[in-house]
Amino acid sequence: MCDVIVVGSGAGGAWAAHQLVAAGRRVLMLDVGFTPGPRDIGGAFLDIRTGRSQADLLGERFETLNNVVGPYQSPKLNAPRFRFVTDESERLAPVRSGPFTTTQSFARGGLANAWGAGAYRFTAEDLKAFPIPVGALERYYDILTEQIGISGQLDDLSDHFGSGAGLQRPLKLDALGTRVLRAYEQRRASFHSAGFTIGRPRLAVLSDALRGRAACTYDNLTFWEPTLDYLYTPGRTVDALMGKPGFAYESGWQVQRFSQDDTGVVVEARHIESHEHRSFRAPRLVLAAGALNSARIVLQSFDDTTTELPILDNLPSMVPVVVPGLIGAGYDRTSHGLGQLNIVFRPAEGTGYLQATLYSYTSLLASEVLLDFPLPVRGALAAARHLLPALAVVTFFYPDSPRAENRVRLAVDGAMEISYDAPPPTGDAERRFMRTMLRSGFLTHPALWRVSPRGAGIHYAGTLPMTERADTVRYSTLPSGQLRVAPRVFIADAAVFPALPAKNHTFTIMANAMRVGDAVSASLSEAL
Amino acid sequence: MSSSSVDASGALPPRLPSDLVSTDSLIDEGRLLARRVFGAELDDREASRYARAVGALHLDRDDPSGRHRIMLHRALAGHYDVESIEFALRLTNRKNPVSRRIQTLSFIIEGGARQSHRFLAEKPSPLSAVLALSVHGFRAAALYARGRYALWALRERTDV
Repeated sequence: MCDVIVVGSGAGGAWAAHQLVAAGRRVLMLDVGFTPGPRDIGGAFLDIRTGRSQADLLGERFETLNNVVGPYQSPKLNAPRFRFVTDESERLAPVRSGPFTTTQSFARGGLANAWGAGAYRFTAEDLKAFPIPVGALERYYDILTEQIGISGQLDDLSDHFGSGAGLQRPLKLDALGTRVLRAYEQRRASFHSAGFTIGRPRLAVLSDALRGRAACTYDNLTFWEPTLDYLYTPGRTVDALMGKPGFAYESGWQVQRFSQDDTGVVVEARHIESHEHRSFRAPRLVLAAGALNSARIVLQSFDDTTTELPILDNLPSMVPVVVPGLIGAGYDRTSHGLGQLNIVFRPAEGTGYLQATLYSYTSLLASEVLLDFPLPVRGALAAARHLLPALAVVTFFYPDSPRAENRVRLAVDGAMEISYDAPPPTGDAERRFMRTMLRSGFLTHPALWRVSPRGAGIHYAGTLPMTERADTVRYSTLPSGQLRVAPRVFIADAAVFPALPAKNHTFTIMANAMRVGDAVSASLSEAL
Repeated sequence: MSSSSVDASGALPPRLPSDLVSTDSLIDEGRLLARRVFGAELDDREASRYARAVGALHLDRDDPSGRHRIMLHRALAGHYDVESIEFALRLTNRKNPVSRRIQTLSFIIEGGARQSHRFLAEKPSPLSAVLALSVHGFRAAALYARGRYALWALRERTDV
C-alpha cells in the first residue's frame, strides 16, 4: 500500500515524488521508463569524428539521418543514444495533428533527457496569467539550484532571470560566444536602443563538481550522449529516489485511466510488454505524464471524446550569424552544444519579450547543414570546414497563450487530435536583431531567417490549466494542482500552465511539481 | 559488394527502374557519387552502408516513378557533371530526391570518420579559408549554369 501514485518520471514526476518522499510519504511511481542502456558513447566528439575513438554516430537504423527525409526535429532526438527518449511514442500515444509536429517521451526522465538544460526562473511578469504569486515558486527554485547545480552569473539579464542565489560560476565561453559577448559589451547602447540585452545563460550544467558529479569537460558531446555526468536530467532524481525507503518504481506500465471513490483513487495500467492489465490503488494520484499524456489520461478516465482542451507551445525561429573573425579558425574542440549566450528582446513600443539562445555549431555533424550552403557540394564542404567554426545559430522562442483555434481532444479511437493554427510570426524582432548584428560587424541576411514547424518547440503545456475560477475550462485545476473534477487527483506537469512565457519551462515544471507535491502531502495530512 | 556493372571509365550503363533498387546497384551508385561529387573513395563498408541507408530511409519513396533515379544513373553513365546537376536541382527544390541521396552519402562519409578532413578543419587556416570560399563562390555560378544545361540536355536526349 502506498500513499501516492505518481505517473511519469520526467521533470514533474521526479520532483513531485522527491517532495513526497522527503515528507515521509510512501510513493509508487508508475512509468514506461525506457532507458538508454549502459554503454556510453566514449571519447570526445572530435575523437569520434576523426576515428581516434570508435563510436557509431549514424545508428543501426540510420536515425541520425532522419532529417534527410522526415519532418525536421531537433538533431539531438535523432542521435542513436537518444533513441530511447522517443521510442515507441507513436505507438503508445498516437496523435493526429496535421502540420503541428508532436514529440512525446516514455523514457525514464521524460523529454528532459534531451533538454537544452536552460534553467530559467519565471518572474512575476512570466507568472502574470498564473493564479500563484512568484513567491510560491522561489523557495523551490532555490532548492533546485542547490541540488542539481545551475551555472550562470549576475549580468545584464539578472532582472530577467531572477535571483542568482546559489549559482555556480558560468561555463567557459567558447571563441564564438566570447566574440559576440565582447561586441555586445562594446556596443551595449546600440543593442539596448534596438531592444536587445545579452547575457550568460543559466544552465543545469556543472562548472564545478557537485555531490559526486564531475564538472563539464567541454567534450562537445551534448547532442550524442544522454548520460553526461555534468548535465542534469530528471532521471538522476528518480535514480536517487530508488535508494530511499518509501519509494517504489515500477517500469513498463502505461497508465490508461483512473477512477476515484470515497477512500482513494484506482489507477488502471497496461504493461507494454506482457499486455497485462493491473489496478493500483492509493489515497492520492499525481499525474505527471506530460501535458499531452496527462490530458489523455484525464479524458480517457471520463470517457470524454467531445471536450476540447487548450494547448500551448513555444514557437521557435532561427537566425544564423557568421562571426567574420572566426572564418577559418578551425574546429573548437573544447565547447559544448548548449547555449553560449541568451538574448532578450523587449520592444520599446510594446509589452512582452522574446528570449533567444545563441549556439555554436560544434556538436553536430556538418552533413546536417551541408546542403543548406548555397554552393555545390565541394564548395559546401569548404564552407563546412571554414565557415562552421564562425557560425552562430540564434534560436528565438515566442510566448504562447490560449487561443480558441488551438485545441486538443481525445478521438474515439484513442488518438489525440490537435488543431493548432497560430498566426505566423512577423519576424520583426529577428530582422531587427540581424540589422543590429550587421552594424556590429557580423554577417547575416534576412533571407536566412527560418521559422520552425508548429509544435517544434516541444514545450507543450496548458491542457489542464490552473485557474482561480471553476467555470472557464472543464478540466481545470486549482492553484494547488488539484483537478477540480477529481479532487484526489493532482497534476504536476506543464498541463497546469495557463500560459507560456518565451522561456524554457522545464525548470519551472520542476519547481511547480515540488509545490504540488507539498500540496498533495498537505491534503493527506488534512484527511487524517 | 559487386562492381561488375561498372565499366573501365567508371560509368554505369543505363538500367531499367526495376534493376535500380538492387543492393549491388546502390553500392555502385554510392561509389560513383562519392567519386564524382565528393572526390572521395568509399571503402566496402561505407558503400554497403550507403546502400542500406537508402533502403532504411525509403529514399525511393519520394521518387515512385524512378524518374530522378534514372536521370541520375544516366548522368553518371553519360559522364555528366553530377555535382552541378545536384546543385541546379537543389536551388529549385532543397528536398529533391537527388539532393537527398547526396546528403545521405555525406552522412555516410562523415560518419565513417576516415575522411573527416573533408568536413572538419582541426587547425586554423584563415587565409586558405578566404581563398577557398572565394574560389567556390565563383565556381558556384559556373556550376549552376552547367547544371541547368546538363539537366536540359538530359531531358532532351533521354525520355526522363
